Amino acid sequence: MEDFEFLRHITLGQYLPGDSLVHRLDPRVKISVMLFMTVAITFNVSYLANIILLIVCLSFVLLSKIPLGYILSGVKPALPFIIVLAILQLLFYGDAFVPYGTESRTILRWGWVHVTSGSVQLVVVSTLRFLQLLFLASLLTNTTTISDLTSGMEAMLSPFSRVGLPGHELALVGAIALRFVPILAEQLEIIMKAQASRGADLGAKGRLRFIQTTRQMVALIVPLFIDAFRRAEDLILAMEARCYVGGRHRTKRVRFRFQRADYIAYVLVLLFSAAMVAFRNRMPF
Amino acid sequence: MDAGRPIIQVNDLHHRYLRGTPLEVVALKGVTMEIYEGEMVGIIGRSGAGKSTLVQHFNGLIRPRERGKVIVDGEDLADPDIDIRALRQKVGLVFQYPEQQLFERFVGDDIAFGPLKMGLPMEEVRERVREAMEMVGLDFGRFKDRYTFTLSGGEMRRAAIAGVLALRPKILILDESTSGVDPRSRKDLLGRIDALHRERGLTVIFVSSSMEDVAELVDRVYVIDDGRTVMSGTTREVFSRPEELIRYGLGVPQVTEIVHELARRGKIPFTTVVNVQEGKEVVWKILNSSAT
Amino acid sequence: MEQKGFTVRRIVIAGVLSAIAILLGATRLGFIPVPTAAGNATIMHVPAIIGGIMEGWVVGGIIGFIFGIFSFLQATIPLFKDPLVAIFPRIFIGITAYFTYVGLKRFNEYVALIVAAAVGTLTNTVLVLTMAVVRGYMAPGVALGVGITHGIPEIIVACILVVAVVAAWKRVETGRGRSKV
Ligand SMILES: Nc1ncnc2c1ncn2[C@@H]1O[C@H](COP(=O)(O)OP(=O)(O)O)[C@@H](O)[C@H]1O
Ligand SMILES: [Mg+2]
Repeated sequence: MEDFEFLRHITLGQYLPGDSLVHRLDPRVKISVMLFMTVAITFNVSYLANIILLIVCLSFVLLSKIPLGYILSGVKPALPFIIVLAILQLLFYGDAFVPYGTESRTILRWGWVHVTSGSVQLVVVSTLRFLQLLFLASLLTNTTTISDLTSGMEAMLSPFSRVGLPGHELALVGAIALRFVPILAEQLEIIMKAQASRGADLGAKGRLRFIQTTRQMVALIVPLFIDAFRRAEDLILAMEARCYVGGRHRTKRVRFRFQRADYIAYVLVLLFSAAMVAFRNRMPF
Repeated sequence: MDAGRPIIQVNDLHHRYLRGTPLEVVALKGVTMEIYEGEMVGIIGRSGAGKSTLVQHFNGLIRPRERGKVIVDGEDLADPDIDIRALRQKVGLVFQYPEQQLFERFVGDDIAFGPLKMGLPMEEVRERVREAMEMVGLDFGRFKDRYTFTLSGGEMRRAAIAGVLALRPKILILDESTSGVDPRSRKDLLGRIDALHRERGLTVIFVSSSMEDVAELVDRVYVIDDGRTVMSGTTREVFSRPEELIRYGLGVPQVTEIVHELARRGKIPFTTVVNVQEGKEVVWKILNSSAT
Repeated sequence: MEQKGFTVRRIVIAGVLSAIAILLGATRLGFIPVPTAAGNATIMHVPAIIGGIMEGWVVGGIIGFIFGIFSFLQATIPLFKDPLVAIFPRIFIGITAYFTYVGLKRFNEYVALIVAAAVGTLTNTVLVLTMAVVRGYMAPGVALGVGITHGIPEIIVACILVVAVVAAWKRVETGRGRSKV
């Protein structure tokens, strides 16, 4: 049976109302936390560091009171793929990865199969890293409304405008993108339902599935693009009619002010991330 | 209103959107109704009541997955093995915003989409397109090569309805498809649909928020509120209960209300009129009796 | 003739096309089931190509960047939960597509579109897989296999889509053409 509920698949940018500590944080703090933690996560490969990072990310989720099951449910469809990749990584990637300061010992060698302590670590660490970032991303997108996210983004990018970089414009592009995702999702649902109502056979099965679904996909996506361009033209007209010039001289709708919790969260995460990066090669295991 | 056999049966239908997410919306929580072959039936209810969700069950865009049953022309829609394309050809659905329903670039192509998907030869496709366009009052030669988005609101609605009529459905569902069109154009369009119903025996399901149109056109009405069937009966029966309708965020046609008000002021016994013609007669009667 | 900098038009087009990229990534629609066991090919990079072709390399680059951030935030597999794999390579999709298109446009519009689509797609495939190997998610052999089984259908579909969308939009603007019936 086909399923037209596109919005259900867009777990990103789905704000889940709540009143947790994390919900109340300044969006700029949340974006910064995301950036700092991402850097820390990207640079750490040891078991211990990743366990610590996972615990920290998990505690963010618990603080935000977002159901853990909801975050993990998004992963379910990709699970077989994740497992296959992990197995490939484990079996055939023995020599390539030597964690800093350790010897990579061979655990198993049999034909092409070559399992080393390095490849085991690689698989475990990339799984942990995946979970950490999954939790972090949810922290940002599920506890922050789109409008807060865009205002935060703009507030953080606008200083760049002063040195001639298009910070403000970039923020505006992001804001328009976020604004249009649900609109276009709805439009997509309508196009699909309209075609199905008139006999389009969506979700066909059989041997020529690739060809068939590609044709259907083109039939769906071309009208989607055309609709998007039309909406874009309308918006361009509206913005030009109102003499939108953008940039420095515009007054902002929202001015954020840091609360005490914001300062504390910001400083703590900054110090923690810096420490994790600084000590990345000194972890005992 | 010669009630034929039931062609759509809905029993205790439930539906949730975004099921299994924290954003779940319960849209239907117990709708029951029966629609007979060849009748023209109205579905009314305030915005968000669940009307669109309900009618999307009728052509299988949404399938019953939880409680409740939908049977269309003898087929149980919960059964994954039914021929869904045949069903969708039999049950034509025109959406709430028909202008969003047009997805091809040319009007002619859009209306031809259904017949082409049915694999009909070009000659027959063209014939069907011509016929469907005439039914809704669009000139074939003048409109077929027009860009869909250059049409006016009223023309878009006509084109969307034509695209569905080209499938030659047995049941036509109009989901508020005529709202927001200028009054004259709407009257013309409704007249054409009424003619299709009377002359060809098309079963029509008319979802509307205009009490006037409903009273004018349909024989029977179902009132949906908060995902449930809350009232049903002939148009006259339903409109004779204005207090209940108001509770469900609806009202009665203006002329009905005027006659009810006259009754409340003791001028006449309580009657329910459903169109201007009947209202006129009541007023004449009062004028005549006060003249004597 | 080329206008410099950020016009309102460029900002809006970049935003709207980024939205399509995000949408394609968020729904299963962005994936083409390839008739191999390797999983799915993707068309999520097509908006970046189209943006680059229509509004220049800056717009193409921005769309790729935003799409990259989202594919990073939204990834359900470890490979794309790494910003160096998910974000960095995507910036170049629209840029290479734009320069290819501009270089070939004077010969033939359609050829330019097709080659630009292919180059943009290759940019995505090659850079993502290279980063995947560099970051240790895939062995080079596996990456090559994935590159071939996914790269080829991705190129084909991207070419079809780019030509269909750009041609459709240009024809809408010029207002020519006739219906089939
Ligand atoms: N695609 C959808 N996703 C989530 N919720 C929806 C969707 N469509 C409708 N709803 C919700 O379901 C309820 C019923 O909507 P609908 O059937 O459109 O009502 P009506 O047509 O009577 O106005 C509303 O609360 C609406 O917000
Ligand atoms: Mg509705």
